[in-house]
Formats: sequence, C-alpha cells, structure tokens
Amino acid sequence: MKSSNTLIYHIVLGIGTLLIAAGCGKDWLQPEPLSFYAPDVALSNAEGMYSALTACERNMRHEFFGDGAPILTEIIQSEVAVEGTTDKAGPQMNMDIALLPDANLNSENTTRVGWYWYEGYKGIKYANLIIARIDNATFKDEAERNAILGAAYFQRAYRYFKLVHQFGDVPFLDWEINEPKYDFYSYDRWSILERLKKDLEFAYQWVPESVDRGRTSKAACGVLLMKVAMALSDFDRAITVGKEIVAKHPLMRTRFTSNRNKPNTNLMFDLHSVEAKLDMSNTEGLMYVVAYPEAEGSDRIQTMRNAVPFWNNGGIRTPDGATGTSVAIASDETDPSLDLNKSYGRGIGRLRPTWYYSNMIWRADKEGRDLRGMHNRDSWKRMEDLKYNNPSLKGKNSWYGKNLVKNPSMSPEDTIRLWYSWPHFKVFVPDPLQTTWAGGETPWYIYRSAEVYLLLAECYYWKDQPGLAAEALNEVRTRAGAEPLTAAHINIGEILDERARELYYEENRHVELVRIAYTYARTGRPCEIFGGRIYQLDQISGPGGTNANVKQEGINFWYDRVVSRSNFYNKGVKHAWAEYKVSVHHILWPVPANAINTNLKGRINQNIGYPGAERNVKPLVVPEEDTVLGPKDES
Amino acid sequence: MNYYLSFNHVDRQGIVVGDRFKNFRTRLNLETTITPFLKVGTHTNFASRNEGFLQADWGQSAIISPYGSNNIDDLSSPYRRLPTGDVTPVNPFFDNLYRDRVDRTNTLNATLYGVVTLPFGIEFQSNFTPSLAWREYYNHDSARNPEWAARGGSAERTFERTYNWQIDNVLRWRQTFDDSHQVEVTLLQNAEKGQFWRTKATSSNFVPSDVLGWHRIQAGTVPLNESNDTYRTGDALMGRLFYSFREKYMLTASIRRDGYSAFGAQNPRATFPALAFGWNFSSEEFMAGTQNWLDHAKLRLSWGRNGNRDIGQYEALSDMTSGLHPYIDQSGNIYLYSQLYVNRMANLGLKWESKSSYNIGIDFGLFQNRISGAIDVYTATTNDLLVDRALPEIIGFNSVAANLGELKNTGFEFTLNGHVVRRENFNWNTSFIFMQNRRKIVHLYGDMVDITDDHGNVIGQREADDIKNRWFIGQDPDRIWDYERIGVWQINEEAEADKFGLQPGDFKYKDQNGDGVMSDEDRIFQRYRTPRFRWSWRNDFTYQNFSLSFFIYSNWGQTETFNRAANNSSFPDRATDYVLDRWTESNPIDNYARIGSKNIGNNYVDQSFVRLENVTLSYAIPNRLLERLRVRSLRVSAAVRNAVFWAPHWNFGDPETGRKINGDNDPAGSPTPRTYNLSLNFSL
Repeated sequence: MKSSNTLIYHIVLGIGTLLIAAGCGKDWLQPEPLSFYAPDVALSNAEGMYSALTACERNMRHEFFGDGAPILTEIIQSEVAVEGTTDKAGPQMNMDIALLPDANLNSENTTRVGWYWYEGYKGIKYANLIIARIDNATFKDEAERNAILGAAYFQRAYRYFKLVHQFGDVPFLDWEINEPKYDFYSYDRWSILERLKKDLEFAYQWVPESVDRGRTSKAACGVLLMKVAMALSDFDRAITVGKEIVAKHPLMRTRFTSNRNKPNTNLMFDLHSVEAKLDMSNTEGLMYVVAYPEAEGSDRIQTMRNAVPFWNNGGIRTPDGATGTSVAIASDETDPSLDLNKSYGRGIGRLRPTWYYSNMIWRADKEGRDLRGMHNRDSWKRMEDLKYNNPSLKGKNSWYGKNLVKNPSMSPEDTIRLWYSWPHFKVFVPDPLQTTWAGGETPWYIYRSAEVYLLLAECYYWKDQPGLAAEALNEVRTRAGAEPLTAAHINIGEILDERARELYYEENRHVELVRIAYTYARTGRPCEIFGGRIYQLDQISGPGGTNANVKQEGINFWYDRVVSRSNFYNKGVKHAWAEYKVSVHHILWPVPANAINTNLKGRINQNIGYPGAERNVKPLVVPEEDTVLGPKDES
Repeated sequence: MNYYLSFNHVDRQGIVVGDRFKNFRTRLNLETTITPFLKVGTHTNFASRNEGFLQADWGQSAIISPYGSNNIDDLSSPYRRLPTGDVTPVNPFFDNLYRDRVDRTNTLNATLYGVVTLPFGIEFQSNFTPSLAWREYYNHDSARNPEWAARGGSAERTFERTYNWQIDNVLRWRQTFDDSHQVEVTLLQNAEKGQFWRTKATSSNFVPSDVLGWHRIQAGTVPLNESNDTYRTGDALMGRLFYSFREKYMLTASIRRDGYSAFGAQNPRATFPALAFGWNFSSEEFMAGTQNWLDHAKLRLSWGRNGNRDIGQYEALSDMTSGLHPYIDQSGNIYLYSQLYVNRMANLGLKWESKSSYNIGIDFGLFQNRISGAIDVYTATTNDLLVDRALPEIIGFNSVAANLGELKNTGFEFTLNGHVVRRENFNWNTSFIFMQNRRKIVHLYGDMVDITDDHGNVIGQREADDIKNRWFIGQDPDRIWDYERIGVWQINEEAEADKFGLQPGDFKYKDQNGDGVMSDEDRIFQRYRTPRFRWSWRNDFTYQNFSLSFFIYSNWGQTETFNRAANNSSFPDRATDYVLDRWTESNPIDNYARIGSKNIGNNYVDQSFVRLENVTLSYAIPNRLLERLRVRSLRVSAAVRNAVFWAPHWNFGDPETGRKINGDNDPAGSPTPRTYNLSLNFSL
C-alpha cells in the first residue's frame, strides 16, 4: 500500500507542475483552426484560385435550380409567363403588392427579386476575392494568371450585368472587403457598364477557348461582352465578337446523342437532353452549369415541378366526378403512357405560360413545322394528351386510360394552374433518384450559339440592316424547321418572339426586355411595334411617388411590351387571392429595405416609384481607371 | 477510505408513439487519507444514453383528414403512405418502418483531486477534471421504402469524440486572530482545453443490396466522407481575500484574469475585479432594542465585473469553406473539384464581454425566524457585448462578430420565507419569490446619423439604431417593433383592404403614416417578448404523518407571435388542422382570420400564465407499524407534475413549451405531458 500511496502523491504534484507548464506557455491561447482553410494559404496558387472560381460557377447554377428557382422571377416579370400558384396569398401576381422594399423579396412563395440582389453580390464577393489577391499567388506564367483573372472578371460582370438591368444604379464593389463598412453609395449604371466592357475585353482575350464544361469559357466572355456592348449601343463590337463565336461554335443541325433514334422525339429533344450536355460533338453549348445524378455537390433542377401544370391536383376529375390522376400507378399497369409522373414529371404549375408564348408566336404559316412549337405534338404537350391513371379507377371506371377532358365549370384558380400547354422538350429532365419526378440533376446551358445569332440579329436591327437581321434569325429558325423570314418581316417584336421560341427557361427575359427598353430610351429610336413611339431615358421608371402605381403606356418599352402581349397583367384577370397587375416602375425592382437600412453612413438609392426613393442622392460614377474600393494607381 | 457507488437505469417512453429514452449511469466516488496531511480522491461517473428511437411524425398526425385511413399494413393500398391520397399529409408511421437508427452517447467524467494540508492553516488542492464523450450515430434509410428506392438505400455512420480537460490548483489560507479577525485567502490557477473530432461517412446506391445497412457502408457506390475537428483553450488566475471582523463586518475582494482562445488573436485575456461588503447591523449595540423581534439583519453591498465568452471558438477568424462541385471533362466525364469561399468576416480584435454590476441587498429574520427573507436591488451594465453586427446586404456577409455597445440591466428581487403555523401536529411553511428585470440599450455602435426636421434640414445628430437586428437606442432589446394589428378587415372595407392586396377576413394592420404602403415607417414599438416579472410560491403543510406541498409559478407580461390565428398554415383543400376559431362573413370576429388568409404582419398574443407545477401528498407510515417489518422508514407519496395552468389570453396549448415553427409557438412539436407519480420510499 505504501508504494501506491507514493504514486498518487506523485500524480498530485505532477498535475500542479503540468499546469504551470501549460498555463504559462506563450502560444497557449493561440486559436488553432483544424478543419478550415485560411485565405492567405489557400489562395497562393492556381489550384486555390480555381477553387475560388468554382464558388462563382456553383453560385451561377443556383439561379436555375430548385423549387421556385430564381429564373422563374425573370420569366414572370415579362410577357411569356405568369406565376400560377393560385392556392394561396403571397406569390408575385399583383406586383403593386409583391414588389415593395419591405416585402419578402426572397422566397419561392413570393418572389426571388431579392435573390438576384443578395446572391448577385455574393457572386461579386467570390469574384473580388480572386481579383484582389491575384498578385499574391504564384502562377506558371502570365497566361495562367490572366486566364484566371479574366474568368473572375467575367463572373463579376455576369452579376453586374443582371443587377444594372434589374436594379438600375447599384453600389459598385470591386475589391475584397475585410472589415465592416457602412458607407456605400449607388453608382451610375452606365459607368458600371463601361467598366464591365473593359473587364470583358480582357477576359475575352485571355480566357481559353477550350475548357471543361462548367468552367468559364472564352465564348461565354464573348457573349457577355456582346450584351454589354449592345447595352452601350456599340453594336459593331458586338457583331465582330458574335461572328467570331458562331464561326467556332456552329449550331447543332442534325440529331445526335444516344437518343437520336428514340421515337416521338426530335432534334430539339436531343439538344436539351442531359446526354447532349455531356456529348463532345455538341458544338452549340458555350457555357454550362453542372449537376449530375449521384455526383456530390449536385442539385435538382425541378423544371417540371415549376413549369408543368398541376395535373396531380384533385381538380382534375373524370367527367363523372372521380379523382382522375395519381403519381403512383396501378401496380399491374403496363402501359407506360399512363405513368404521367415519369412521362411528364409532376408539376405544380408555378410557371403559367401566357397565350402569347403558348399560341400567338406559333403561326401556322411560319412556325407550323417548328420543332420548338405547339404545333409539334411531341415537343409540346396539352392537357388532353394526358390520360386518367388513378389506380382506384382501374377496372371500375370506364374513364381509366382515356384522355383528360376539361371540366367546363373549372374555377379560374384551376384553369390558371391545372390546364395549359407546355414545352415538354425543354423542361423534361429525368429525376432518377426520386419517386416523384420534379426534374433531376442535370447540366444546364448558360449560353448557346443560338442566342448569339439572335443577338446578332438584334444588332443588325438597331443598325437598320434588316436583311442581315433576317439572315441571322433564319439560322436559328431553319434549324428548328420554321419558315425563313425576309427583311420585310424584321421588327423588334419578331426578334423578341424568336427569343421566346428559342430561349424559354434559359434567358433572363426581364433583363433582356429592360436592356432593349434602355436602348430605345437612349437612342431615341422610334419603336415600330408601338406606332413609332419614342421613349425618354430620364422618365424610364415613370413619374414616381409612393403607391402611385402608374399604368400608362408610352413610358418605357418593358411595360408596353408586357402589357400588350400578356393576357394576364392589367387585364382584370383575378382569382381568390390576387389580381395580375404590373405598373411602369416595375421595369426596375425594389432594392431590399434591409440593404438600405443597414448601410448607415451612405445612401443606396431606391428605384423611382418605390417608397424611400425620395431620399435618393446623385449616383457616383465609376472612374475610367482605378478601382473604387481597392488600390488607386498613383501614376 | 470513503467510497460511494451507485447505478441508475432509466427506460422512459414518451407520449408520442416511438418516443423513448434509455439511459444507464454509474457513479464511483473514492476518497482516502494517505498521510495526515494528504488526502486524495476521485469522483467518476459513466453514462450511456440511447436516443436512437424513432418517433412518429406528430406534425403529420395533426393535418391528416379524419377521413384518411391508416392502411399501413396493406401493402397494395395506394393509401398506405398517403392516407388521404393527396401528397401533403403523410402517414406519420410510414418512414420509420424503413429506418434503422442507433444514436448512442457514452460519457465519462471524472475529477481526480488531492488536498494537502499544510501548517499555519494553509491548504492546497489540485483538481484534474477530464471529460470524455463518444457519440455514435448510425442511420439507414432502406431501399425497401418506395420513396427511397431510387437512391438504392442510404446509410450514415458518424462518430464523434470530445475530450475536454481542466486543471485547477487552489491554495487556501484561513486564519483567525484574537478571536475577532477572520482572514481567508484563496488563490486559483486554472487551465483548460477542449477538443472535438468528428468523422462522418455516408453512402448510397448499395450494390448488390442495402440489407446490411450501415454495417457495410462500403457496399454503397456513392460514398462521401467528411470530418470536422475543433480545438479551444482557456486559462484563469484568481485571487480572493475575505476578511471578517467578529462576523459583523465582512469584506471580500477578488480579482481574476481569464483567457480564452476565441479571443486569442489579439485580446486573449481580460481582468475582472470584484468587491463585496457585508454588515450584520443587527449585532450593533444601537440595535439592542430590536432584539425581541429582529433575529438578524445584514446589509450587503457589492460591485464587480465579470466576463462573458459565450461565442464560437473560431468566430474571430475568417474561414474558407470548401465543398465539392461537379464539372465535365473534355471526354464528357463527370469529375469533382473543390470550391472555396470566405464564409465569415474576420474580426481579430474580438475581446471579452464585460458586465459591471452594483448590488444592494438586505437579509433579515424576524420573530424567531418565523419570517425571513432577502431584498435585492441591482443594476448591471454590460459593455463590449458579443453580438452579430448586421452588415449592409451587399458585402456578401450578413453579419460580423463584434464587441459593441452598452446594455443596462436593472432589477429587483424579493424572497420571503415564513413558518405560518408551527404547532406540534401541524406545520405550514411558505416561500415566495418575486423577480423583475429591465434592460435598455444605452449605446450600439457609435455611428452618428443626422436628425432632420420635416423640411429635410439637419437639426442634430443621434446614434444610429440597428434596424435589421431590431435593436434601438433607449429600448429594451426584447421590445417588439412591428406593424400594429388592429383587427380583421371586415365586409364593406373591401376598397381600403385592396390597397394592401388584402380582402375581408385578412388581418388588418395599421398604416401609421397613411401612405397606402406597409413599410418600416409603419412599425411601432409594442409590448415585450420576455416576462415583465416572475414570481413563484411554494407551500408545505404537514399534519401528523401527512404532508402536502404545492408549487406555483408565474411569468407575466410576455407576448408571443401567434400567426396560426391567420388560419393559413396549411392548405385547407388538402389538409386539416387544429380546430381554431375563424373569421367568416357571419362570424366577423377580429382575433382570427379567414381560412387561407393573407397575413402581412405578425399577430402577437399575451402569453402571461400562472402554473400549478407540482402537488405532492405523502404519508409516512408510523414507526410502530414498521418495527415488525424491520423497516426503518416507509413513505408513500402521490405527485402530479404540470397539474394545471391559467393563461388568460393564450389558448393555443402550453404557453411555455413547444418548438418554434415559423416563429409560432407550436404544440405540434412537443406537447407537455402531465405526469402522475406514485412512489414508495423506504430505508432499511
């Protein structure tokens, strides 16, 4: 016993000694991160910089993915579709209510206007990290450095291009911010565009042509450079770049991928399939965002949940009143066309096409054989193509297996949400890891050559060269089977119609309309589709005033276009929760109130027409040289 | 040698099907005196806790229509998973049929100590307190569930280990001089370290099948590994001096210096002094005339500063988060690359929060201690609060950890104990406590903004509020600043309601500035989220061998959001809900909205309550009956916990419990059970 007592005694004394050693150590309280990187170390070479670019390229993807994806807001704030969620209050239908600075601006249940603000600036933060630290890292050579810097410039410009068309004058952040800062001001949107053009010229020069899909490509820099040049009315530069792009990236004109012989499909199915985006013979894709089933870091696109009608709703009934449809099919059912879930996806009708998009632009004489259009019964689906498949009807009700029949007394809520035609070829994405198919993991196009032709056509329109415009349009039209147009057909409406045909669920429809609206106002060109109307730049948002909600034509092109083509907005269309309305000032969106409130020492301007705009100050101008927040060039 | 050994096992089932909790604990205490001046010992306890039981989904059970059916045993039924056929309500038992889970935590805590008694009243104690915890979380979602079949089964194995230790060296010296000067000195030295390791392995799409679940995770073809480890250190030095003169005057002075690695970049340590003075004034000669009714009375005065380090261990550092993201290489194959972005803005200057308090109190005993109690009044000012300061929503960070501002606390506490009846056969003891605390923001960030008059002229400056965090200079941080609900829009108010996109039956909020738009300008200060005062009252009665006790407490003056009153928390065409009152044209009430209403603000309801928490009645069997049984004592008791509450304004379940769902206090999460307890207590 004696020896063990001594042992314990030693332990007690030992503890006291240990403490003195530990407590007095100089580095004892030094924080020690174990499982995360410190920026200075992680960003010291090209690998780290490419990882930082990945954050930008991943953030790009979020716009198109998920339930109530942000892209829907860009489509809904235009003439091609409206919000179709008619079973509750809140979704963006009456913009006079939904688009207010204090409203919830970032929810799939309201609007994602705020998403473009918050995530836009997040993308800018990710890009600025690279831009500010580019010279702290070591590279193989100048070309490697400039390729990364150029890609970062593209990523930043990609956000600002959206922001200046969605929110007008916005704060211009061009450097990493490491400490709290509360004195931001809005910058003149034109001066931001000038800076973007300069940055994109650098990017277009240095970013490589051939990159892995999902990475920023030279062609992508070129497309954005075209758009920025067009926004600044430099159509010649846009045409030069556009021609260079299409020369290297021809349209896909013949069937391709392993699906090329699949029945009831066509070239348009091939082009928009998951397989096409992995197919190296595809020359049309210019930039992609990537997700793929079972690949870590992927996400589901949910195009079908968003864009397919809510056929699974109890409002779809057989003429004798039984519940007609079901996601699960009868266990012994062998007819694949009765599996509505896997044939079309289960939609909830968030994105309700307007008559303009589902019918007006598909003219029997010109688009009768267009593979993208409603006349093609494979590409577009109508409710009448679907069949009653509810397992409880099988063997009991003669309607089982028959095509759906519209109930003549359907409520307005249901006709909006449950009964419309949709472009199946575009939004159908298999969802192999789910039982309810909403649209699975897939790569998605950011830019395609087809859009470059449409931008070229638009440039020729602004330059009054309708023959060349028709030629560019026809590249896209004839590929899809539409009849070619002549110079006499060309007007801005024809170009916008073609964009709708080709780029539904791809383009930022609202941004493009606003870009054109600014161009009319800036150039003073009479708008032929509205009787030669001329727009003014200084009145682009209308007279303003809180709650004025002006609904008058002739103030900006965006409003006139939306109201003249949409059969919903300002037509008295209403349902139990809301009436579809827009006003002229919605051309630009409200800056979220919190962004303004938290900026204590400066002033972020609110757009005209929204409460708070009365406190605006004159926007600053981005200098031609130097950064705004980073180092200043002394020379 | 002293020893103590205990074992404890708990196996408890909750009130929701599948809710269960198992725990095993054992404790061993040893102490031995080795030499007359050295004593060593240990307190050790080990516990094993199993939380891997699968509880039915209570929330679903509330929204299933009573016409839905439970067909879970009929494998061919289309209503097996979806009791009503609609996809909204799901059978609350369904997923658990296909899930296998282990969630086990083992903890081993120990204190090893040695006490050395030295001459001159000096004592040295050294403690080493290690604490180890292991958690295993294994989960398998089987491919047999048709909903999960497409993923080919998925399984997870997570292992976590925590190892914290702490060393304290304490030197005490206690001496009394001349029978009247009592001096006590305590010196403390402390160091601590906390380490945590986590490994998580998940896998899905099992081949050939997932029947082995998490036992064979390598059979999954889509594996993912993750780890996360953390580390923190701290230390402290403290000295305290206590001096008492004839137990009439008492003085305590202390100073401590604390260090913590979360502040380690620049300001790891901070010093906190304290001073306390006590005066037993009832012992003074001039109080001699009160001795017949005043037993004791003591005045206490104290001032002190103490620190708060309640912040994540890496909050001061900028961190770069990585994560995998897919790309397609130039042969058309998917590969993964890691993204990197800065997740947190650094604030290397982060430091300890400190609170200085002044307290004045009186302890008293009256009438042979029939009545005793204490009264305390305090004020405390917190400086350098550890807060998440809001950043402008363009920087890409929502907030940054910061030390800011000044928060003032004032409070009052009152305790009264009484032996109301003290007889041979009947005793009644009572105890009442009352507490009140008020908080006020004195300063925030020191950013000055202009005050303008109606014409926009600058007429002065004031410190800016933090509107995003709802912190306002001069206000309690718990004060509600929001739209003011003034009822429900009624029939014949259609035109007015339509300005806000609302209809009759929707909640009506006041447009304070009348501009027809609801904005921050229309938010006003309303009531408080936290109780304005609390009290509790305990009573014990004994009559012969019977004793009865009850305990009542109350929180008063707090409000809580009750947005469920807007009747829009579920889709009425597809799901049911709790029975709530609702606005209709023929029931034009003003506290509940129509079914499926649009609610643009928050509905606040007073949650004040008084709760009878515990009633216990017990009977001690008289000793003369026990002698024959060779039992020393035997007591039978019956108790009710959570007996009843009274909440005059709140009628949606228990005002105190429930998970927050969308800001609502929703009993769908966890109703509070009322428990009845019958117990038999004997000793041999």
